[in-house]
Amino acid sequence: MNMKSLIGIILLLILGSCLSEEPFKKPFQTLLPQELNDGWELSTPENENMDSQLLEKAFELVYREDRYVMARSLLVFRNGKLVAEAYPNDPNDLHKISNIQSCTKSITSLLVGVAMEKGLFDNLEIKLHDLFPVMFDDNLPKKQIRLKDALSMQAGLEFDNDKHTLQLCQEKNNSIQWILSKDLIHAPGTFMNYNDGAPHLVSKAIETLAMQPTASFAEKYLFEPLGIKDWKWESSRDGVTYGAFSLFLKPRDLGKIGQLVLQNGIWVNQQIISPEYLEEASSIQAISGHNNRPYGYYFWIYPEWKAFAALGHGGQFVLMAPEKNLVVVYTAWPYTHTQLWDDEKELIAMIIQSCK
Amino acid sequence: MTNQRVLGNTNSSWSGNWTGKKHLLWAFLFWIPVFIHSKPGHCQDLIALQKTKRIQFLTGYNQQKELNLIPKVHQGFQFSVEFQADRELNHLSRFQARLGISPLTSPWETSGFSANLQIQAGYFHLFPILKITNWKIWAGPFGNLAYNTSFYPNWDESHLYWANQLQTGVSSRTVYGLQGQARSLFWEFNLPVIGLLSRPNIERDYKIDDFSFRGILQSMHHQPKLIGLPHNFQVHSRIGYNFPISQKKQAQVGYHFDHMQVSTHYSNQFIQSSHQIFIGINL
Repeated sequence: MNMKSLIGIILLLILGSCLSEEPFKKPFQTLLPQELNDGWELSTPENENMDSQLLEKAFELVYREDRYVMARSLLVFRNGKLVAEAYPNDPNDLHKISNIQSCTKSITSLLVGVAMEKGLFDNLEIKLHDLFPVMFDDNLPKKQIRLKDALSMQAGLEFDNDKHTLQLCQEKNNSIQWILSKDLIHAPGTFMNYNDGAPHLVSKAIETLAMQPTASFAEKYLFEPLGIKDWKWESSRDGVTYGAFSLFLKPRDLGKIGQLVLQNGIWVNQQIISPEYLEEASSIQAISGHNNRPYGYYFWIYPEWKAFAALGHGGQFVLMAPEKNLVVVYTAWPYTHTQLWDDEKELIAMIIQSCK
Repeated sequence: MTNQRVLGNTNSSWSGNWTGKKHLLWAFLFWIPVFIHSKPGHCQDLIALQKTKRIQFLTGYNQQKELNLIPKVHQGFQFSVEFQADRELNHLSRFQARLGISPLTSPWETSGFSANLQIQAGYFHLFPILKITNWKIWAGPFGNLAYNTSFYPNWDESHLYWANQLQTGVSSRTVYGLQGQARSLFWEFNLPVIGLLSRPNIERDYKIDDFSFRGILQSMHHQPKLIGLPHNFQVHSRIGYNFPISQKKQAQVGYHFDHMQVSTHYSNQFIQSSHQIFIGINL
């Protein structure tokens, strides 16, 4: 074997072992929904007064290889009917529960409205200290934190998600005491700091009022009435259901929750969520200290579209636009860094524009 | 319907799969008679015991595809350091340990990078197959413990990914002596045949892996499964040139190639391919 042959073999080996790229997504075929007998009435964009060409462009955007790269599902509901759905990564994602991450916060908020409707308490001025006093330290101002402060991310406690969320997950002792042991860096009700600690306190408040874990309360009074059977909700090591993240739902079931909100908390003639609470939760309660965006009770507000949304890690969202009678669900791989989330507003704008 | 806290997997330790361990144990037991048979007393062609220790530095390009995460290729430079201790009588036994690290990127990331860490320790027991004029060929079994762990923070901030293996297979070493054996060309070829593979599940429920030492250790040995072809296709090979740099010292330069593609029923494929050049010196 001469040197040329040897070099040739090595080059062949090198080139032959180069790994090939595969597409992120399956080819786009249809946005027409499948009949599953899961409680959703199906329709078409035209029948619900939507521009199907514009809507299709939104779906094509999600199917592009260079955009929304970790997209898992896009569903559009109008007038209470499912008009379009697609699962770009895997058609089986239709049947899979997935972590909706911080969209969980909005469900926690809705459960406060459910508890209110059940008469477990009558206003949001209630102080957390009155609900679980033994969890507090001796700091007097902390005892002034109201439920509405925690719901609007204005509890004032130091909680930096980049640092403290992992610690919360790994906390072996009392997770509520651990959160409440953080310094009070703002007077309660004065500064909005988006974080994962406050919703965990709200989850504990629900648990205390309902005398059962928040997940069990959700199962009985929210998921069962809506026919949501497959779900999972993680809790901290001391058994408190995470109020901020790690609820797992199917995309269509997430749509049911959005639709319930559009229907003022009524589902099949049953008032599930207090309509007064929903009105308050979807109104501006605070302005984010981070990005100046308006915020309700764990809902981001979009005044430009008269809409509000649950937003979650991965760029996931559930948009509710009451005037358009529109719900949009977008789910994605839930663990990506923000640089891979893409622009939810572009997608929302296209879908809202398609509504005539 | 489930409602559970999942932080780390409690039902999945290394000890959780006796069947897999048993198979590997049998595989190792198979080689014992071979080792016994190779004792010096059986030698027809006794040579003086030679002990050699060397350290080698490798660098090159690494590509990998973690199909539990994305179907795209992560790639980047790789840097490794390897220690070898050879003991040569009529057979060649080698202990080898390697540490490698590789920062990886993909075209979709605008900042930050992923990382791959490899830690390996193996033992090779090779027998002389051919010895004519300038040619020497050894072949025999080897066992290797290989940890191959990656973290892709842009793609998954919450979980580690790994393809760790306790493997056994066949190995060969071919040497062609030059200039009265002072210099030589060599070719080494390792083909893992079976192994116990640990991989993360495709669907992981917990938000954040347990990043404590104990948690990482448990994850790294999660649900080991016995794998052979076609779920375990690996080739590790190197060619090199051995030459004197002083009267007592020898050095080596060459090219090293690693390719692995492994999968189990509970996990998608992990593919890794790396090309490295190396330089080494006898200690």
